Amino acid sequence: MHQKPMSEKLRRFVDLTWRLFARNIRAAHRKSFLGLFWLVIPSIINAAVWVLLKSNGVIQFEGSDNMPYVVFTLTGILFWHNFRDAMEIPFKMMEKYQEIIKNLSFDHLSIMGASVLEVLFNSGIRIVLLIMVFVFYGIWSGPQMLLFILPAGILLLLGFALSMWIMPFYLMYRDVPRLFGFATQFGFLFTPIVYEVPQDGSLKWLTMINPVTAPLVTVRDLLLGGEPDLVLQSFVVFLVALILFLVGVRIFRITCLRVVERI
Amino acid sequence: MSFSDTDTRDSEFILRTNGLSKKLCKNLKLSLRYGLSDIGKKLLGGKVSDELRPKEFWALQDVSFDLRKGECMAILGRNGAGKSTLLRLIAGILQADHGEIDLRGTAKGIVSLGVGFDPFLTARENVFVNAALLGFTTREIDRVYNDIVRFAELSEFMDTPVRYFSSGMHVRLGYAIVAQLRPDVLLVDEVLAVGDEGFKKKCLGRIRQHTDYGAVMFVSHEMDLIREVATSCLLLHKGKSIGVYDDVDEGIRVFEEDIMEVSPS
Repeated sequence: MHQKPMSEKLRRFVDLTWRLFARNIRAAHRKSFLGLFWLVIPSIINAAVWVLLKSNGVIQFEGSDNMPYVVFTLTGILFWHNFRDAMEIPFKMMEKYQEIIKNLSFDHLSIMGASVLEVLFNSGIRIVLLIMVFVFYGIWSGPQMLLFILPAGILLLLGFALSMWIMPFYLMYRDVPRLFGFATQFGFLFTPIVYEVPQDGSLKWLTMINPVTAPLVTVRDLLLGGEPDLVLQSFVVFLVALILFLVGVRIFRITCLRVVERI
Repeated sequence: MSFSDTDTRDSEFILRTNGLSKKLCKNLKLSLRYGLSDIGKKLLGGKVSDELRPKEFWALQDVSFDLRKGECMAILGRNGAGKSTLLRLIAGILQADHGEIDLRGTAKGIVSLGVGFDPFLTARENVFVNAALLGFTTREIDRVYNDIVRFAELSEFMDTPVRYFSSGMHVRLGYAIVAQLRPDVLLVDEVLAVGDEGFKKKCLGRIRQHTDYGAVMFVSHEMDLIREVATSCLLLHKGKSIGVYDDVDEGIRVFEEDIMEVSPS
């Protein structure tokens, strides 16, 4: 085999990753009228339901007057959906590319690269919605709120890392996608998304062992001007996610072909 | 064997395989379990054993041959003889369990039809995606794009989503991409059976042309076609190589008399 220089390999990787990403975005929105709105419609409806539940007293919320519950819950839901995307989009992408992997030889890591781009794209759209909501409610607590980008990145990193560890099982056994569906539903409820971090009780314990809690709550604290008190925990989640991610890339490299050739 | 020795003797080969072997498993559940155990061993840095586990068999066993520049090699064998597996190993789609592939350049081709096309994208978009998957950069594709369209004779339909294409049009486009991108070894798996007569003629012409700067390996069950273009043939039977024949007629005779006759059971 000819050994191509690193820069050449990188250029091809970037080229292919970009093509795959562009193809997915174009194909996904070509057959729909609402197009990009589908990225935020589920989040909006979800938030609307919780606002309704809260107005009927099902949810306790100690917000102040200038912090409406709708902003609080929508922020949480949007970033939860970003996290879920980071886990799910690589799965969907691999399912979509199975046949191609079986018939063409290419750098499979490009599929992951394209997944990352798509997640960033979706996250960007959601953040645009959030900006509009913030402008509408006149929420601005100073430039430090832009730091939300750090914990938001940790959420995505954690999502990708988990995704790559689960991937071989997800593709091989039908049970895993089903379990995964359950897990994300319960995960939503056991993360302080539509409610504030509980001060005591069994729910507090559950939310504290949940790795999504710290970065998600920190994102919201920073954006909504609260005192971020889970910064240290977020940093720990970051380190663990980074290690899981790097090992995950190696797992992906080794398993991709071996898994796909058997399913 | 020293390096200088091999260099002087065989400097002209583009592709050499040595003891190429690939295991497959007949049972899906077992196959998945073996897959996970292989992955586990690989991750922990262990070695995967060469021995066959229950329900496994050699889809390809100990296949060795040389392919030189200018050669057009036909692969003959009954269904399940390992022809497609061999092409996939050479293309780098599958990993061999045993043996080596020494490839001096690129080996690309069509190992099945219409693959890599997204039905909702136009033919033009698909050409770029497909060629990118085959390992070509945007600039390289730009250069040959018009030739691809001309070869496929689809210039009016390049802005049509490929889901409106007939299967013949799919093949034409797929083949046009691969052929125009000029890999060092062009791999063609039975695609010639799908196109119409006119396109088939064109493909054969293209295959002959290709041997001017590279080599071709193709799978076909049509003996007349093999006689027409092949310069050598490789006989496979139940995963094993019966031999490489530089005399194509001799190879076809051996195939028809020894393999077709013996194995109908």
